[in-house]
Amino acid sequence: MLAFIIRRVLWMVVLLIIISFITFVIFSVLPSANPVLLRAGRNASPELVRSITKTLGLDKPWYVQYGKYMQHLVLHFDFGYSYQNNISVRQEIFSRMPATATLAFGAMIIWLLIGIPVGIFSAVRRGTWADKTAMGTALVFISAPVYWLGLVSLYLFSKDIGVFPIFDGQGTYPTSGNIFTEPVAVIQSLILPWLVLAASFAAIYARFLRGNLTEVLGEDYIRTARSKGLGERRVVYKHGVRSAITPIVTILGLDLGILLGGAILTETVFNIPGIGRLAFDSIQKSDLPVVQGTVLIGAFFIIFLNLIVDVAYAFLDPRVRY
Amino acid sequence: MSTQGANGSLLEVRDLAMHFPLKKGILLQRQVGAVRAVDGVSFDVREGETLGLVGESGCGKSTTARLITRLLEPTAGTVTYQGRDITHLSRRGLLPLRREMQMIFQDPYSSLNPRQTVGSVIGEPFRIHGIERHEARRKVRVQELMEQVGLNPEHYNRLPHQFSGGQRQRIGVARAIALKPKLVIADEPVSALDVSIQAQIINLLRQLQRDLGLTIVFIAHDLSVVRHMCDRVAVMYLGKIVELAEADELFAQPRHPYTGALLSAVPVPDPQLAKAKRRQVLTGDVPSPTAPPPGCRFHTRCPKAQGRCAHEEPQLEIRDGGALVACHFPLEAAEIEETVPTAGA
Amino acid sequence: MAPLLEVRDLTVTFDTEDGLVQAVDRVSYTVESGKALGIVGESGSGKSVSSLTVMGLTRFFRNAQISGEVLFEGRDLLKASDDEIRDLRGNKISMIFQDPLSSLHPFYKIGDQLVEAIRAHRDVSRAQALDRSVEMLGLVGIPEPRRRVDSYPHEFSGGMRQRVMIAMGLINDPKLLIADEPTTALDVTVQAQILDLIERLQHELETAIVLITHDLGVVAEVTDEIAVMYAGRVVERGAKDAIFAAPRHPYTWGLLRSIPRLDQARGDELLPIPGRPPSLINRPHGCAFHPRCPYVQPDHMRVVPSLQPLPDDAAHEVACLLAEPQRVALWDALKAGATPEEAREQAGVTSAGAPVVAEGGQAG
Repeated sequence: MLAFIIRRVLWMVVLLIIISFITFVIFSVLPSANPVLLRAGRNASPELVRSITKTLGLDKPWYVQYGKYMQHLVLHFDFGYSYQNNISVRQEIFSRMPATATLAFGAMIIWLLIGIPVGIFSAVRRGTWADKTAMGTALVFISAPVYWLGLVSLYLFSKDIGVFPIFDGQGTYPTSGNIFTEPVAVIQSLILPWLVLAASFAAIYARFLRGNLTEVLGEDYIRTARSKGLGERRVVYKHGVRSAITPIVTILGLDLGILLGGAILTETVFNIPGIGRLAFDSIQKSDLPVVQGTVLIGAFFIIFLNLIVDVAYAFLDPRVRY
Repeated sequence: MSTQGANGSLLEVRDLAMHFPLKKGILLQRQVGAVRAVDGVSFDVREGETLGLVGESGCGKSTTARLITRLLEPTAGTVTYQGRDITHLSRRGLLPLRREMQMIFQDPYSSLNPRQTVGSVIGEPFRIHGIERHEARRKVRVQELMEQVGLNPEHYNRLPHQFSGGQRQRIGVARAIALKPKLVIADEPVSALDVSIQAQIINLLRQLQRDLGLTIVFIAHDLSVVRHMCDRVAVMYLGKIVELAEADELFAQPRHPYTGALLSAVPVPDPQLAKAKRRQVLTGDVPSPTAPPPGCRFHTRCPKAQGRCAHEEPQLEIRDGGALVACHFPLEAAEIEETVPTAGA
Repeated sequence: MAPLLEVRDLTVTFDTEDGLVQAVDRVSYTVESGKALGIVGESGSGKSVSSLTVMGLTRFFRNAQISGEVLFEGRDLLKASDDEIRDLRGNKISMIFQDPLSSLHPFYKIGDQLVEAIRAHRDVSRAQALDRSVEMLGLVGIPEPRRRVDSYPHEFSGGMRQRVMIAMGLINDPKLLIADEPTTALDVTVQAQILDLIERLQHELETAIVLITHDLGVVAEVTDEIAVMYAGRVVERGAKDAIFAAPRHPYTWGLLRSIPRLDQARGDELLPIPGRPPSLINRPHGCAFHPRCPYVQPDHMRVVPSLQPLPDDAAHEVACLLAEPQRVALWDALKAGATPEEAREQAGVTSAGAPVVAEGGQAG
């Protein structure tokens, strides 16, 4: 197992290097905008443009720029400075992590609390009206794009413009402070985003678990459990759900990994100062160091959570051995 | 024109081995061991005969089948077909051979593509080898084959799921004999079928062998079926052949203790006989093919094992009666009499 | 003495998309205390479904319709509530199945699975249950049971796993153990070990056994009585010796003559039963076997035969409309090596609409 983990960690480093390189090349070759011009403003003189270019180091060949970037990253854990406002990228990203993490974990808890029971319920009552209704509703939520759902929810429930003003609307996340320093404000501001983000995941997980559990309940060992005279509840949970839940763990890890890199659409609709929003803004402005930073953080979380999930699998399924 | 091996054999296998590597390591995976599925097997297949390969799970018989048909490339040893060494031929080199060597598989439910019609399945060999390019003529040939194996030619356009297990197996047989091969390897062709259907397929195979002059290598774990079908039988254990003899000889006078135990274990549908014979029950489990026991592989479970068996691996030697046996202490007549129901039959 | 288990006119029908599947049709058999009954049949004969119904496991299929009586120790299980029958399951009546790898939960240690079987029915501590589990594992021949109780199913070989299943089935001292094809998935030498074990335990613990199989050899060894099933019905029933010595149903003859046997001469041609097993949705009218029977007569296609005792052996019953003297003559001929046509001639049975019994017969 240890050898396996070491191998994966080494591979993670390799992947991150490759990803940073590809991102760099993309932005060098196809920038979305010229950061120098954006920084310089309108009617900038050629001298100003030249001087900014030199300051930002953009006059050097691309491989020199890349080399310098990696050097700073590896030796000093320095992600560089934003082209726009000179803020340290590392600081920018880490200051926004709490918002993204709170959004992601909060949504995760909600979608698990909804999705899993619904999935079990539907599997056990397969074919009944209850099952069909549940799965039909799930399909609606899977089909609805998250930004649409976000806008609709704001329209319906936002305190400032909503038809039924119950929840805080967009932009209400406290500007300074996080879940630990200002729990009430943070939670209030995130209720709608949590629900919106959790909606489609809950639906997916419910359907997925229903499918898995239905299949598992047809397995021979369920027949054995029943033939031992165990109560049906125990059969369904201890024998059935226990088997059916392991693939859920896999996709949970992947989903969480993706969300920790920033739920761009949700953060944008609700104006939450997270990494996703940061990524979106910086891409538009071709602010390469910031883009690189968000990409690397996102990639890191995905790869890392992938590894956690694989290791967890070995504990969940005794047949799996590394 | 049939080029045969030195002693009139169609296929010769010498010291054939298949070791599947086991790897471990952090960055560079080193081989730390191997699953020795087939570990030094030699035999001939004579033209026109039916040779049986028997053994229990893990003995290597299915792997041997795949090695002879070159679905796998051996890690050691040679396979010679009609005097030609085909051990390491490339896929292109093997293509013409595929017309002459065909395989029938065990599971009629998973060995047919569920989206391919019967006509297409049986017609595929023609297409692959560029024979009967004209579609109408090919259809005629396919329908002839369907009749030959006992299927209704009108079902040409049906899909596999519309047929029963026995019928699907007939489809597999038809596909295998489509190009009139010389050698057919049948890997457990009746194991997955109901008892009353098994007899139909067995009879079909025997009939086809007579009509087409086939040579058959018949792999099975059911000894009664093997005894019925085969002229000669090879018994395998943990990747090696332990006994090879004419069927009459093997079933009447098994010499290797493992063969004796196998025969003794087969339940016979005759209560009187069942009561009269003392069953020879082997203890323990089959050892892992990654670490076969030293000396004679069977010694850990053999009722006749003695000191020598743990150190010295017995080689296949001819015993009186003509059988090839790899054993230091083969069975005596009295022992056979007591435990084997077919003794003297 | 009243039999331990008495199944009377059990009928189980499944309502499926393709139609009504008549899996079991008025099946009756009995099992005496401490004795072994063998139920012989091929796929689709209803042998498994009838036993699952005895265990109350068919209740989990929403589309099943069950009627008849299943009397266990005098009590009708079909009328019992779900809780009552669950009380008996794994306790007084146990069942073991064909594939021991898929029949054990892959994620739990076998010790835990055994303990669970005990504590579902006995009020004992975990430690006590574990002790009993170790004891049972030893009884079924697993070496080092105290250590192996912490192993997972995939860490055992096929034969060992089946022993674990047997241990689990016997752990609460059931009066009846139903074994559904317990050795079919095993190698022949392992099969011998398991059959030996079942026989030994049956005598030591005085458990009644129902052994379901398609293998006539297995049935010849382990059982006292036999019931032969075809297309959801019992076609022949009686003491094992009687059935092997003097079988009276054409299907039984077909089975006995179509299997290659180690105790018969090598060269004999096998006589397959022509045709194939019937659909349970569109079961043939009259005698279900008639489309495949070489001795069929016109009224066999209309009248459903019921089990009738033989004149000289009341314990031996057959569901066949042929007259007894004819059956005796036919079997005598077949036993001597005749083909069905030859037997027909010798016995003086006319071939009214018998299927073509050519080489290989109608494709099956």
